[in-house]
Amino acid sequence: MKNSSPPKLFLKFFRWYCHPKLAKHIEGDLMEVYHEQLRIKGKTKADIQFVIDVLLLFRPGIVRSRGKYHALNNTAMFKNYVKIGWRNLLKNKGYSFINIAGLALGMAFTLVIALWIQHELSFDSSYVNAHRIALVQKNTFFNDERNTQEATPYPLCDELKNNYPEVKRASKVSYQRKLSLMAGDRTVSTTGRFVDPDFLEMFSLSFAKGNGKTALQNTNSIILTESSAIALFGTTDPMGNTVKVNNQFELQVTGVIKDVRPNSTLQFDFLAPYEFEAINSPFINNNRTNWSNNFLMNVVELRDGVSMEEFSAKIKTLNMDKDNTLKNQTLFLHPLKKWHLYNDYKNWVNVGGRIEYVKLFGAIGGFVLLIACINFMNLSTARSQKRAKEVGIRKTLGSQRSQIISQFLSESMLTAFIGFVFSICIVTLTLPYLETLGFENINLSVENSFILIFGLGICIITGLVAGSYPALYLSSFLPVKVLKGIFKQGKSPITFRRVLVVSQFAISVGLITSTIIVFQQVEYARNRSIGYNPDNLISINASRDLYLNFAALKQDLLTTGYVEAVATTSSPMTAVYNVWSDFSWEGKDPDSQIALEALMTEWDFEKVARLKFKLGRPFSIRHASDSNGIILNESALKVIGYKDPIGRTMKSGDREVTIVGVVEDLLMRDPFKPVSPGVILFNAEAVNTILVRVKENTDLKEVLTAMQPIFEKHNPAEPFEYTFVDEDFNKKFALENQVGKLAGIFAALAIFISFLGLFGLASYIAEQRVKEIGIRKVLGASVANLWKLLSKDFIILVLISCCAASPIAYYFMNNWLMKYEYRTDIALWIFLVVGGFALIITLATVSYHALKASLANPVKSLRSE
Amino acid sequence: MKKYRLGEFEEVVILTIGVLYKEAYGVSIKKEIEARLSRSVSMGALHTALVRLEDKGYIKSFDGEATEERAGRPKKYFQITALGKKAMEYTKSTRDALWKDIPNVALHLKFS
Repeated sequence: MKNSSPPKLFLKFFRWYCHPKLAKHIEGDLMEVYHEQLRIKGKTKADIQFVIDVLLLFRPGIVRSRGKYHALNNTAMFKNYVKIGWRNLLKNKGYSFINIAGLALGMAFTLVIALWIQHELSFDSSYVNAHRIALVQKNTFFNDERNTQEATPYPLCDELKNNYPEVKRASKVSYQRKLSLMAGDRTVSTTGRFVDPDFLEMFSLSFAKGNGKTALQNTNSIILTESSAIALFGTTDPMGNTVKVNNQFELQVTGVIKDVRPNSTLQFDFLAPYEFEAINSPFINNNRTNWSNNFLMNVVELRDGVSMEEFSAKIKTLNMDKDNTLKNQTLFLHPLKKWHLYNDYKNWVNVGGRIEYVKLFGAIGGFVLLIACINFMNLSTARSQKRAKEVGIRKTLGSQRSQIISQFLSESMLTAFIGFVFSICIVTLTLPYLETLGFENINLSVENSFILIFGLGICIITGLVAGSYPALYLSSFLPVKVLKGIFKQGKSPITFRRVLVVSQFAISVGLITSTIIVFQQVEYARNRSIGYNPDNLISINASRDLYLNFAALKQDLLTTGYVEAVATTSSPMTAVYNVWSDFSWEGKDPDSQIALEALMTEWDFEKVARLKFKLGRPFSIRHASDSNGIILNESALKVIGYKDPIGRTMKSGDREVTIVGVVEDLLMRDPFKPVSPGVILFNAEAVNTILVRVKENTDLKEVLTAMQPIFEKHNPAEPFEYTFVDEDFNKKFALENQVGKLAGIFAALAIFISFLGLFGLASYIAEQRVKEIGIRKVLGASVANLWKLLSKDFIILVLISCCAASPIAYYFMNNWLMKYEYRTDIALWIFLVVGGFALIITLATVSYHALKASLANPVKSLRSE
Repeated sequence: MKKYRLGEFEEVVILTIGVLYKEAYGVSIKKEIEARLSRSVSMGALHTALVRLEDKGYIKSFDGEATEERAGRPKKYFQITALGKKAMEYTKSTRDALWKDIPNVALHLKFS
């Protein structure tokens, strides 16, 4: 009986929580009661009673205070920590510089990334009804491809608004239109949209002047944004004044709205009624009841409480119900809040879009910060020996372990804070440069409270992450050992440091490899055959006047002597405006839904674009029948499958056309995709673009100065605006280029910070082993021997990190490349080059210290003892 | 008036300590209260009250002997201090005064 004891767990619990002053005799009381109960009622009941007693004793008055002792001078101690930390920073200027510079760089870029992410996530969230607004999108099945499009037919809007009670408001929205607006003697070329009156209230646009309820009721009205109003009217009140559009129509200003925020997906400088565009466009007028022609966007606002999913399901087959000839197309709603970040579809499934980049950059930002933290950890643990005595003395004088921990943590937070201040400076100074990298919307101002929160958070997190290991490690020293001087660093911190160095380098090497692969992919796509020559090719948006005066314009241009050829086209060389599914040919499967891209042009297009003919000939003015001719691209020929195509006929709708030639595939759309089947048709009326081929070896500036008066003569209402086709083509790589540039910057930064750390570590190790080196030298070691001794460790570490990083980088980049249908292969040499590069820089960094240490006079290092 | 504050349970505890005189320690106090007042007293409540009384200076304590039964833990004996005595007297006198001032009628009401 005497040996039986109460439940151990609860006894331990009691001993843990009880105030030490009370513990002994209360435990005595508990035991006495327990033994009595044991005698009277048996073990089970005694145990239960004991547990109850222990639990009931857990109350204030008996529970000990959390610390074993009461710290009376917390603030004073913290002041002391900061002071000691500050002095330490000043004492070791080199290390402090490496630490703070690394942290500041890492934080600066993390800050930029965070601000960028903030901007990206804030898209379209400012509208009051944002959660109820959606774009009607359409899934189609053409050419055996499941595509998703924004364009929907004209009658859809009224149908949704009138026959579906779930829809509160609906509006047609045109794509961005570039128009020239004229008021008085001022002409501005600006982009805007045609919308229905509902649009204004749907997006709760705030009017500086005018009334949102009536502003678009009149067909001939226009709403300007504040900045376009100032550009057109200066300081005079624009309300009620007329604006001449494209030198043709007069619209009355009925409202001025605040400028559209940069974080809105729908951008515009003016709004005009859709009805205005419809009345003046024969094309739209003819398609007012056509459910199969998709050329505009339809935006709806649902009533409160209507679920987007349910309504999507309800309107799914609406298009096909209205027009029985339509096959395989379904409608669904795409919520406003997802427009910006989730706008990419594959096989009808939303596969993200920009959000991928947000995630990617977020991860990269985190990595760079992590590398900077690792630097800090590395150097602090490496230098711990220097502080060991301090820790010993502090402990002897009564410091608790927790106090030592908080000392080192406050030191690291101090460093982190200094780093943050510098990082703000770095961001401010590099802001103009950042803007060219696509970070133009970064909000670096005091009003952006996010910066303060983020700054505080990042200081604390960096301080904690970077300071945790040194703090835990240093505070574990036993004072007796340290002060006696028999303190030796064990294996574990050295191993830990190695792991840190390896992971740091692995991240850097991985980033560099990925950057190179991104650039390779861009180069690969840029260098593919595009079927025409974009150099020395000028593209001009065709206005109505230019179209009407085209013959004279062409003649004038040719007589300047600079111009080789001029032609009109239905779309610029870098876009496809028309995709038609009404083509038919002999042997076409009647059920197939194959659409061909159609480019309409007239004489001389082949000279302008420098088309490469595989078969046949271009349209020629000598063949009168060529107005019914058609030129195929190679992909189209493959689809049509004619063995000997020249001279054979096919049908475009009901019109019979004769194949006169076959050209190499013209790359007009996505350079990362194969070219779709396409045809060139003869049509001198469908004119959207005028292309001018400039003669080789002429000064483009001269050409433009010669062209300007000619264009102004034939198109007095609009300023002469042009683009170079090669530049337009390069814009297709904008996103990839930006990603590549950023990845490059991050990689450079990561490797720089890593080498800062390596530099510090190497210098520290050389310093540590200075006596050893001295002795070795005295005993006859050569400089080469010593250099090898000091460098070997680092080389091995870097090699390990290359081996670790390469497969990971390969895996991720391979996944990334899979997104592109037209992609490069990952070559082995990239990994070898990056590895070699890392090795060379490591050698250079480490060798500096290794050589310095091994060249030093051993007398100097050995004399001091 | 705040000078002497004794809660109801504290009063019971300090009175019991007085009753037990030199034998007042945790378990004996607990048993005495349980026996006299026929109510169960939890260890937690008792020790909290003892800590509070000691903090107020109404009782003082000294370590006693350790027995095998107590797993070698010492007993802690409690004694009433002079201040504690004053507090008890004060409490008693206020109660007495209250008793005295209750009109007889009030107490006999239920019999009539």
